[in-house]
Amino acid sequence: MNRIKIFLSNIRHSWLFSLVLMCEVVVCICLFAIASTSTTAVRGWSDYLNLNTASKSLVAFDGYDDINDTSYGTLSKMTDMSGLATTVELRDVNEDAVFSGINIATPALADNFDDMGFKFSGDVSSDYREAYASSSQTDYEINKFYDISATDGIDIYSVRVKIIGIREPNSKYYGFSTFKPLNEIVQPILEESIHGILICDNLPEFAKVESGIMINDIAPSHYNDLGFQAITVKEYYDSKTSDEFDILMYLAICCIIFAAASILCNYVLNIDNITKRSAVMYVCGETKASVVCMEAVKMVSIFSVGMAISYGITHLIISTTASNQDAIVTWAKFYQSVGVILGVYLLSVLIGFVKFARINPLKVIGNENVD
Amino acid sequence: MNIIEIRDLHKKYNEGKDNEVHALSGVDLTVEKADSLAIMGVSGSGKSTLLNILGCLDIPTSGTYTLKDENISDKSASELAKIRNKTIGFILQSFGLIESDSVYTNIKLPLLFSNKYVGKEVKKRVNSIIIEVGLKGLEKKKVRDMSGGQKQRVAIARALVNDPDIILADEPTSALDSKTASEIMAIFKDLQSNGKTIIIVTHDKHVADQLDRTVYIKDGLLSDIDEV
Repeated sequence: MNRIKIFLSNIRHSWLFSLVLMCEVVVCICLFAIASTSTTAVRGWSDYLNLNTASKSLVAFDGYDDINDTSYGTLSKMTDMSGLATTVELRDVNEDAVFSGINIATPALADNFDDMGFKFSGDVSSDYREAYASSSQTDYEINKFYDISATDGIDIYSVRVKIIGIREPNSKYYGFSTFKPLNEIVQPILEESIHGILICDNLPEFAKVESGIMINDIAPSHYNDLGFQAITVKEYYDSKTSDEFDILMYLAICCIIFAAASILCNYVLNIDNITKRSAVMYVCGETKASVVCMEAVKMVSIFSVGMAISYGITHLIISTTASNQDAIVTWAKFYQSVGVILGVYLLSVLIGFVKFARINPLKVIGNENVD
Repeated sequence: MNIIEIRDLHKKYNEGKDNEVHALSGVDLTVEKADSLAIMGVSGSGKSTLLNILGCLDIPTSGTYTLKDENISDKSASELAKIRNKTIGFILQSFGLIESDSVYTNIKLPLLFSNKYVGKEVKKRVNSIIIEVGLKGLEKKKVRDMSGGQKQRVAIARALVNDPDIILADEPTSALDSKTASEIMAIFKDLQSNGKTIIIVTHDKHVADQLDRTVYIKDGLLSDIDEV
């Protein structure tokens, strides 16, 4: 009990220093977590930037004045569309049921991107198509067959499906479909098809194609010549990540430098005062070992409280984020940030703490009073 | 009855190194209970070293130190800390107070390390000491706002709060005017009359003359004769 009283007395005596240090810890943990999460989001393109896809053409078919008809049939007459990896969404024929349409993933998408949370065999030759239902569609059961239809508002697409899986709520996959030109696409398109069936099939002729990756060896120049906007996946990745990534990395590095400098300076500036007070405590009946131990506990406590507050802030941010795609911080990056800032914190306080631990109380005692 | 007995006490700093200093070279000293003793000597003679060892702030290199019939020469750090807290009241040179704290908080500090007074007894004890040293009404005043004489009274109060048997003071009047110094010495006389053993390190002959006995330390050795 006495130890607690002495510890609280120590904290009370250096409350401002402790508060400032704690705030620095909170700011640095949160900022670093956000910065590194954002770099990961930018880096998200690297999920599919592999040897097979890096050199492939990322093509945006829609969004240009010269081309009004971007239906799959029309595009197929202009160029070989067999290697198109994309998804197309068609809505349910029953207009009342707006949330139960069909998302068609092309065979090229299914074959080349297998880390999507779904797995199709790629067989589009049988009289049914493999399908994943959304968990919100309670009418569908696994291994059962269903006849479903969807439309673009004019034409009808009908298909017999076999349900092979149920997608979890908020499950995502790269659909690469967007109405935006390439230079407006911010990050890899993560489709959030909470509702609707996901199947793998060749696209119907009337399906409007927005964008996608062409899994063939045709260079982007071919598509640019046709009036589309095309670039290799790697070039797109590099253009998207360089500026944003650099800025965020600078922010993350600044966090570390700020943490180190501020914690170090704060502690060194206060260490004389802490040392003198500890010398008085030594005279009054405390051992040097206890004094040093209590100082160590105090520094650990400051970080722990700062970490707890950061945890609360992170929890608040994550719980109010609509989807993972919009997340500015993740738990993984938070814990990573805690580890990094803890390392910086320990190194920064080390100089002051070692100086403190090596004090000879007899030399400190006397000439000046303690502030 | 001897409350303090030192035999052949040696203290060396940086032993075995080129800059070895032999601060105390075989000191013998006995102090009776309720005695008052002045230790005089020039700077560097070893008087602060002797006082620190007497106060269990430092340990001798060799020799024996018997305190209240107990040999404490080989006591551990935690045991010496307990003795410092319960048996000895140390008044540091230049007071050694925490300026940003109040009179009450400064005086209460030794009680944090002791179970002698708990709960409401702590407040009662601190307040009674404050009255005893003549600081009534100044409990909440910050030490930084006080005069030298008042600060010395706070330092004395802190040294007394655990009701120790021995009071050690390092130059308690050096920073005070003569009137205040006399008031402080009157407090020490009063404490002695209440059974406390008083040991004061001082340069001031006038202070030493007010105590029962004076010893002189030169080159780490004690004598009763002033050879300065």
